[in-house]
Amino acid sequence: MLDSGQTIVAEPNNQGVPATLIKNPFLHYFKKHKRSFFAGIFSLIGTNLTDALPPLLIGYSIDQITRGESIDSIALTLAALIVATAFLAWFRYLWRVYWGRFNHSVAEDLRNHIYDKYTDLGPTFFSKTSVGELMSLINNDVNLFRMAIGPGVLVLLDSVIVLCIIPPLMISISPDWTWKSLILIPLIPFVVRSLMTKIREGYKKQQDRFAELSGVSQEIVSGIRVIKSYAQEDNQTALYNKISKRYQFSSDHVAKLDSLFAPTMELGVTTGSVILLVVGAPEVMSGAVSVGAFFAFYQYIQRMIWPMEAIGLGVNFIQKGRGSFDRIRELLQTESDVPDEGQIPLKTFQSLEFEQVTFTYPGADAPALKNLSFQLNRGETLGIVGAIGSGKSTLIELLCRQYQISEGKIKINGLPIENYKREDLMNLFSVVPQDAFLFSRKLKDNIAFGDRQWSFSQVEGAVRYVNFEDEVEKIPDGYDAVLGEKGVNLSGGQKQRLTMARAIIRQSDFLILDDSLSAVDAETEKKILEEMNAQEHSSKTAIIISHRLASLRKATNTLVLKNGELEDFGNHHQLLKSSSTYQSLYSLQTEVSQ
Amino acid sequence: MSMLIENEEQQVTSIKLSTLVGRIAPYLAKRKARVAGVLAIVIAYVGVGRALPILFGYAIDEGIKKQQLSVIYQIAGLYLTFEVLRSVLAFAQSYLMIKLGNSSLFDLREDLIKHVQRLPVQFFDKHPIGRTVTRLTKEIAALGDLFASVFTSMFVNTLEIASILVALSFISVKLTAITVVVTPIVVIIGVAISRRIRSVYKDAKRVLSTINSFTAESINGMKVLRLFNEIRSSRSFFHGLSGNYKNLQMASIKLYAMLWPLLEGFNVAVIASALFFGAYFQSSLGLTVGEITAFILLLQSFFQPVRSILERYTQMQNSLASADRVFALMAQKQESYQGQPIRNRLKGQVELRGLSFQYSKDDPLVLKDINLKIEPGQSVALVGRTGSGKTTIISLLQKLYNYETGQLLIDGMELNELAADAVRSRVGVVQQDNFIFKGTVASNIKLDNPAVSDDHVRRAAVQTGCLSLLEKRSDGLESKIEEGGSNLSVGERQLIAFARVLAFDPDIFILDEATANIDSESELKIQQATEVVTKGRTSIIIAHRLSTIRNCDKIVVLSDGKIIEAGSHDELLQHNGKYNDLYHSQFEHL
Repeated sequence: MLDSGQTIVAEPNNQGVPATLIKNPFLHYFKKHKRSFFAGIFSLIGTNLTDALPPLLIGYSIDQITRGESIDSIALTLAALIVATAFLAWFRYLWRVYWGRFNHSVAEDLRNHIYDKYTDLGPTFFSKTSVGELMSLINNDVNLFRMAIGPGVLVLLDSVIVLCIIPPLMISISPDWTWKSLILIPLIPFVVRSLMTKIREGYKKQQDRFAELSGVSQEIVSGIRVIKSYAQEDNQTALYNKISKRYQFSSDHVAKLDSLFAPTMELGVTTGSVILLVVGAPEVMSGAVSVGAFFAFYQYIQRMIWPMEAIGLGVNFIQKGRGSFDRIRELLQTESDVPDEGQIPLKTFQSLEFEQVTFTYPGADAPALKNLSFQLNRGETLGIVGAIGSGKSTLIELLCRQYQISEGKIKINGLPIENYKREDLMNLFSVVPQDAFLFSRKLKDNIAFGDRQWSFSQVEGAVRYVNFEDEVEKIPDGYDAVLGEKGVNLSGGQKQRLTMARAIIRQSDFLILDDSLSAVDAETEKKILEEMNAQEHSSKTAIIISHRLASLRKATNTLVLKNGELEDFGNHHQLLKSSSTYQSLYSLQTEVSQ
Repeated sequence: MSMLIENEEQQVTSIKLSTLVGRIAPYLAKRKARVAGVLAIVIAYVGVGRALPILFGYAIDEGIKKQQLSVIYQIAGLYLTFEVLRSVLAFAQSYLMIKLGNSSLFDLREDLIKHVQRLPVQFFDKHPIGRTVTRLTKEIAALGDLFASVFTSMFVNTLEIASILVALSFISVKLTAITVVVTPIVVIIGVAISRRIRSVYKDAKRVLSTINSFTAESINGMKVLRLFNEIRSSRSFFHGLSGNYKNLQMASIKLYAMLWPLLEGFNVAVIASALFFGAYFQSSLGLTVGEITAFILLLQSFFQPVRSILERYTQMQNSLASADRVFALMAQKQESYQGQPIRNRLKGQVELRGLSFQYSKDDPLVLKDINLKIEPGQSVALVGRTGSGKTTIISLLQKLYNYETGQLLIDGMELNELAADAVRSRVGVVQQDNFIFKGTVASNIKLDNPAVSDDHVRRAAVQTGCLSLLEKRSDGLESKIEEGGSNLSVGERQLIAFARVLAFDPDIFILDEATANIDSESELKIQQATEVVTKGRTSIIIAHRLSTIRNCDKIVVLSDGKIIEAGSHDELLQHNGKYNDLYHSQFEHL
């Protein structure tokens, strides 16, 4: 990053995922956020207690009116009603705030764990999972789990609390009415459960369809240039519609089940009102129970709808959330394919050795590198040539620990590279990768990239190095232009030179160019190579992959790869004699030039 | 990390509900009969809902007070019937309404994906992929909630409120007046809070959008992040965003938590005053206990829809923010597909006459008075430094931009007057950076176009040497390709792009620095393929590798937007100019 004058302390915070989170995420977060969790529950109980008062007070005032009591005593009852409601309002406010803080803190924590995990994983993982799925995990699944541990747990607690308060009040009015009017209630959760299972299945399907929809959208937007240049818009729309339709159908299915839910339950509960009418009427007529108490009882039956619904709702939220957490857990438990367990610091470079390295990409049949051995010492430049698929880039990827080596050893200063701290290893190298990947940041921040700090003049220096200084002037906002976003559309060659500058500024002792100058025109490449040769002295080590032999003329030795195997190793003159691949490359390139 | 994605959301246009209804209306208008059906069900549902408390009050007065047990049993029977009916109607209105929304959303998605594909290339240069994808998926889904909230809330609840007022005034007009007086106060305060919630939601959405694009970019650039030890600071940046998002959520929760208690307070105040005045004026009003009970029950259900409207209102604000973005995307100017079609195959004559071009008015000219004529079947190489204007010529030929000065003619037809898709389907391009879709090698060659036969695909793959390269892969043409072609090498990707061009058999072929990324062994393959492709076809080739263009009929050297030399390889070498320099700088090392 650019030196801004102040030190930015980035905490490593890679303590990993707590085991308790994996084991029981609910319990883990209840404990972690005890304060807002318990304050939330307390406010919820307060809410329900005060909420039980209005029906009683309203019923009582109806009786007072019926009896023709004085307006003052009625007013007193109504004043009590208003005070109770004021408390109710306060409690309601509190639980929302506490509970909101609780579940949004959970979401924050989980998001951070997921992001941290992504940054722990290597290309093997990313090649198996689409970006759309990974985005869905950090968005939708985190949110669904939040809904489970937040609203889901809340409504369950709420229904338990209501069940502890309302039925006793009902019994105090009439035990007989209570059991008769609530007789159907216990059936409801069973009906709900079977409906819920179906909803859950339907929902899962809808989620999958949504992921597919995201996937196809991603492909269309990413590949828009190809689609346009082949005028394939209509075909892609047809393809999109097919998936969009499937998503629509799965959504309809969920809607149907969801819509069935509330009416079924309300019907079950309000049947109780009918029973009350039949059972309670004679007693009110005889005067055994007042109309006001009858009214309050009727209201309490209505209140019983919520806990029944809430149980179902809560279970639904929690089931959805569990499904989501299963996916999150699967990710969090994924072992890094490139674990960073090395302890030894690495400060200087003396030698690099490949010892009988064999590597097969996960899922591939044939090895990409076979039994490769060679040595590179400090101050030397190693060239690598070979056809597509001969293993050139694989060699670099292994050296930079993008993949774990299964057979053989790669040693630096005599020790396997896994033993070193990864950050040290990365600091040793300055890599210019084959794909020129830049970030949506300012141009200067794309060059002053990484954990160390550089001054602006160093950035300018790196830009001059790659022959970019004139072009920077032409870009509106220059060094401050945000790439990729503000319409700063760089050509392939420009991007490659910036990735080159990004590596150069690090001034590492070990430079790796992975076919990095291919998109740069010959003249610019020549300038860059001259610059490199002029600046680099014997202490600098380099690996240069190129298919232009001209780029490798300064190499101490060149490695010729063929189908993942070392075909030959030596300097230009030796290789011209001994390597058939090198010979044919040479003759091809010289023939062309004649 | 000083970068910060600052220019997050330039457009903060806030869409009005009426505008939105105007946008959505056409989708509903397509389904008039279904809309009418749903409306009828909603009205029936609301009516039945009002009948229930009135029945209850009637039971108290006519049954309990008058000691008529038979009346009570009759009412109980009716009550049960109404309950059942209400449940059925509740199901039907909810299901049918969402279903209606879902099918309208399908249409909207289709319109949007068509629209997105017709946006000019410059749009995609300026907007991150992640954000556009979010619009197409999540934000449309949020818009779907809007269908539900606009209709259940704004419509069903309004109907409910109206029906309750009618039922209330049916019992006592004077007591109803109290309710009518209080309601506007509640609504005004409620709306004020809701508006504040909306602005917080907007901020939250914006942060979420940044979280998404940042995450997507981190995933795509993970290798680079690791190589440069940028993992730690990207983590802390993400944690910052994540915490920021939580804080904004909390701000909206606090505002939202005030809404419900507010309504509850007003509800109880109205009930208390109804009871008070009912008692105070009992003699003059002459209300029975049953009537007062029914009145209270109706009042209790009165604030439910008001609350629901306000609650949905905030939810709706949330979705409105999504709607904003969806329709802002929809409002982006499409590139024009207007113009004349091309009916027959082109002969392939290309002519640039006095062509000058700048990307926008403030930018410098990138092409200056270019005159170039390419005869049918000729192959022409464009040579020059980065920024000399080669790529611009290619972009213009693909009709990615419109030119204003000079002429660009294909077979004598002015390019500006031809339809963009017509031109593009006649001009085949192998780009510097060829996008590969998830799928198979074959599906990438034919681009899922049913018009391209398997036979074509196979032939194209054989001719470009793509197939022989793929022989390592067990499934040949049916080999699976991961997202972004990540399991292919750059060379393999390029060869697939070549096969793609061949399969589509264009009349004009453009090769944009394609050989640059390919090693010499494959280059030979590509050269052979290029010969096949260029044979009998007008070809324009940009290459830094002079070897590729040796066989071209004409070489055009560009510098700073101008043609400085043109001629055959030998002519230009003899001319001893810029080409000669370039030529030697390339090969002097060997």
